[in-house]
Amino acid sequence: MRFGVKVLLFNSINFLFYFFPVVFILYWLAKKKNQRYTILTFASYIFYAFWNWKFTGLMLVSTIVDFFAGRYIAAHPDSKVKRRIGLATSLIANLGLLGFFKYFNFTVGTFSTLASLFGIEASFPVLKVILPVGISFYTFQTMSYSIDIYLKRLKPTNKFMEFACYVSLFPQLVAGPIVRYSEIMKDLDNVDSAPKFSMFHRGINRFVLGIAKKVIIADTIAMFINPLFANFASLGFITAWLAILGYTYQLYFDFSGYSDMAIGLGLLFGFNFPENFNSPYKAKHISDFWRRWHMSLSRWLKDYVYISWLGGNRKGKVILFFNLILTMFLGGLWHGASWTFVVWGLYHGILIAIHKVIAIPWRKMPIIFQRGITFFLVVIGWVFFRSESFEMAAILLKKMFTITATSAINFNIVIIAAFVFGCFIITNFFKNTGEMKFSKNIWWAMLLGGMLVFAIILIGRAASPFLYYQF
Amino acid sequence: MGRGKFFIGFLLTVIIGIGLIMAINYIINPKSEFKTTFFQPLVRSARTQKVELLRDLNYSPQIVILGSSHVLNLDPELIQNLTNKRAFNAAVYFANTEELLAFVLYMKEDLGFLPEEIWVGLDIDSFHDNRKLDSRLLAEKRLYSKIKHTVLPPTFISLVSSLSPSYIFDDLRVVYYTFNGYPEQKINITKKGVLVRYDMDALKASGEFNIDKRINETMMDSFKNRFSGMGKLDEKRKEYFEKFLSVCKENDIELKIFITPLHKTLEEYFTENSKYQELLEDTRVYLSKLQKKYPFYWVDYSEVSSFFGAEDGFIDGDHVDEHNADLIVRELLSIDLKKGINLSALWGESLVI
Repeated sequence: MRFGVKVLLFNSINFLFYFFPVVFILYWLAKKKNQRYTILTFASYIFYAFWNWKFTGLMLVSTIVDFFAGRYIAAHPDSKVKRRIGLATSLIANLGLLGFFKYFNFTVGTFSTLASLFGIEASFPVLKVILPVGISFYTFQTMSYSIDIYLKRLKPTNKFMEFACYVSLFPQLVAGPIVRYSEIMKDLDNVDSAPKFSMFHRGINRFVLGIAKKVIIADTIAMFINPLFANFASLGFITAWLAILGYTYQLYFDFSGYSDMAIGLGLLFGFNFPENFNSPYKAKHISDFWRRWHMSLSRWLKDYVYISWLGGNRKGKVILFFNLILTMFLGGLWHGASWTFVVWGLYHGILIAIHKVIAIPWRKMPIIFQRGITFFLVVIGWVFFRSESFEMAAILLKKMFTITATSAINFNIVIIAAFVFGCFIITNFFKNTGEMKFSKNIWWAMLLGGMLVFAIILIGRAASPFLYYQF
Repeated sequence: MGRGKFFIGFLLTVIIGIGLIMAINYIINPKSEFKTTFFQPLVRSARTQKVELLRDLNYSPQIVILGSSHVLNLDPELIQNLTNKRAFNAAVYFANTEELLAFVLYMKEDLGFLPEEIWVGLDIDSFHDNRKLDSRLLAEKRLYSKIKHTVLPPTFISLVSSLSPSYIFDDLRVVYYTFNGYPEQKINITKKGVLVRYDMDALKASGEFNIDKRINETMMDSFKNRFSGMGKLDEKRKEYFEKFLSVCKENDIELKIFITPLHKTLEEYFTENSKYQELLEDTRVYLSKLQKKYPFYWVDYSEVSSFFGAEDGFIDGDHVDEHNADLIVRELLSIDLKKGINLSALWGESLVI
C-alpha cells in the first residue's frame, strides 16, 4: 500500500492486482445500462482521485457544462445566437480551465521576461498552480462534443450518466486517445450487451503488448539514456546521437505502449477506441508523420482548429501556410507550457508548409530517401521536445553536428546502440499493433502470459509514469 | 483452438508464473521477511533485531533513541557515562513515522515498560507521501500489529512487493552463498542497538576514506531517490506521528526531537533536484504547530553547524560519523528538562540554534 500515490499507473501493481480486477468483475456482473455507466464513472473518478481527489471537481465541472451546453445548442437549431452562446459557454469553460491551470504561470513568466528585456521592472503574480493530470485530454474531448453538436454533426445525449461515463472513462482519461463522442456512441449505447469474447481476446493482446512496449522497451531505454541527458554538456558526437535516438524510440514505445494499453482496456470493457499510432517512423513525409503519430490529437487539431476555425486551405496559399503553422504552433503549446514545445510545434508547422511546396519533387525521390529524411527531421524535432531549455537544445544540436573523437565505448553505450538497432528493426519492418491479427493458439496465449509476468517483475524496478501524463 | 482455451492458457500462465516466483521468494526468503528458515538470509531485519534486543534486555532503559539509520550510531554507552541513565538505541533503517508509534506501543503493551525519555532523530522523508510501508515492518508482526495499516494480509503485501528483479537477484545470491559460503558481515548491531560498520572502520584505517569522493562517486545514486516523488508531508504519516506524540504525552514521556543532518553536498543536490527546502520548512512549521498540543522539544540539526558538528563528519551524504554522533548526544543532553523553566518560552524558533 502506498501513501499518497501520485497516479494510478496502468503499469503498476496497484492497478493490475487490485483496481482493474475489481472494476472488471463488478462491471461485467452488472447487467443494466445505468449500473454499468455508474460503475465505470465511479471507478474512473476513483482512478483520478488517486492522483488528487480535489481535482475531480474540475472534471465534473467540464462534464456538467458540456452536457447542458450540448443540449442547449441542440434545443435551438434555428437560433444562431443561442447556438453560439451554448458553444461559447463550453469553450470558455474548458479553455478557461486549461488556460488557468496549464498556461497561467507560463503567460505571466513570458510577460515578465519581455518586460525585463525592455528594462521594465514589473512584478507579476506567480501562483502555485498544480497542472491537473489529463486536463488537456478531457477538455479536448468535451469541447469536441459541443463543437460537433454546434456543427450539427452530432445529436446530444439526454443521459447524464452516459455522458459522465464518456468524459471520465479511465482507460483513456489521462493520456488519451482523445475519443470523440461520435466514435464510441454506439458502444456507449450498447453498454449493456453481453461480453464479446473476440473483444476480450483482442483487448488482452493489445494490453499485454502495450505493457511490454512500455516496461520492457521504453523504461529500459530510459534507464540508459537518462544519465546521458543529465550530463548532456559532456556528450560527444556518438553519445549525443545515441541519446536522442534512444529518446526517439523511448517516446514512441512509451506513448504507443500506453495507447495500446488504453485501447486494450477499452476493448475489455466493450469499447472500441480509435487508433492513436500507425507506425509513425515509416512516414514518407512530415504530413504523413502527423497522420501516424498521436493520430487522435492530429485529427482533433485538423478538424476543429485547422478546418473549422482557421478555414483550412480555402483562403489561398499564403493563408494556408499561416494556418498550418498556427495549427502546429497550438499543437506544440498543447504539449506543454514551455517555449521549447512551442518551437517544436512551429518547427513541424514550417516543415509541413515546406512539404506542401515541394510535394511533387519530393514524391519523385526513392521511398527510402523520403522515409530517411523524414525520420531525420523528426529526430531533430525531438531535441526541442526533450530539452528543458533552449540552451540544452542548442548544446545537444551542437554535439550532434560536431564530429569529435569517440570516447571509450562502455557497456551502457553498447546497450543503447543495441536497443536503437532493435527498435529500428521493429518500427520499420514489423506491423503496427493495430494491424496485427492475433493468434488464438495456446502457445501464443502462454507466451503472452509469460510476457505479462516478465513485465510485472520489471515493474518492480519502480513503476515510471507515462511521458504523456505530463501533458 | 477455441477462445476459451486461449483465455485459460493465458490466465494459468500468469497465475502460475507469478505464484511460482512468489513461492521461490517465500522459500528462499533472502531478506528475512517471511517465516521460512530453509536458507540463511542475506541480512537480518534490524526491526526484528531491535525488537528482540529490547525484549532480552536485563534492564529497563530510561532513554530510548528512535529514528532511522541516520541515528543508528548514537551511542547509549555515552549517554550512560554522561547521565548515569540506561539507554538503548532502537533506530532502524528507513524508519517512517509509523515505526515510532509501533516501537512505543510495543514497549508499552508487549514489554510492559516505557522509558522516561525518548529521543527521535526525525528525517523529513519519514513523512514521505510516495513511499510504501516498509516491507520489513510488514514482516515484523510484533511491530506491525501496533499500526495495522492495510486491510490485506501483510504477508501477501510482502509477497507482491517481492516481485522485482532485485529480489530475484537476491534469491540467486542466497543460493550461490549457500553453496559457496557467505561473505563476512560488514555490519553488526550491538546489544545496546548501536550499528557498527566494519567496512567503514577498515576504510578509515587504510587512510583511503575521502568523504567527497564517497558522496560524489559511490553514494549519489542511492541517495538521490530519498526525496524523489515527495510532494508534501503525508497526512497518514502525520497522523501516526501525532498518535506517537499522544502516547508519549499520556505516559509522561519526555520527548526530544531533532531533524537529522545532511552533508552540504547532498543538501545542495536535494535543494536543486527536489522539494527538500520546502519540505524542511513545512516540517519546522508542523513541529512548531504541534507543540501547542503536545509537550516536546525540537531542534533543527539539518545543518551540522547547529550542533557545532564537523562539516565533513559524515560517513556518506547523510549518515554522521561517530564524532558528530557524539556531538549530537552531548547537545541533546545539554537541554535540561528538569529545571522547571517555562518550556513554552523555549519552543519553536528559539530552540533552533
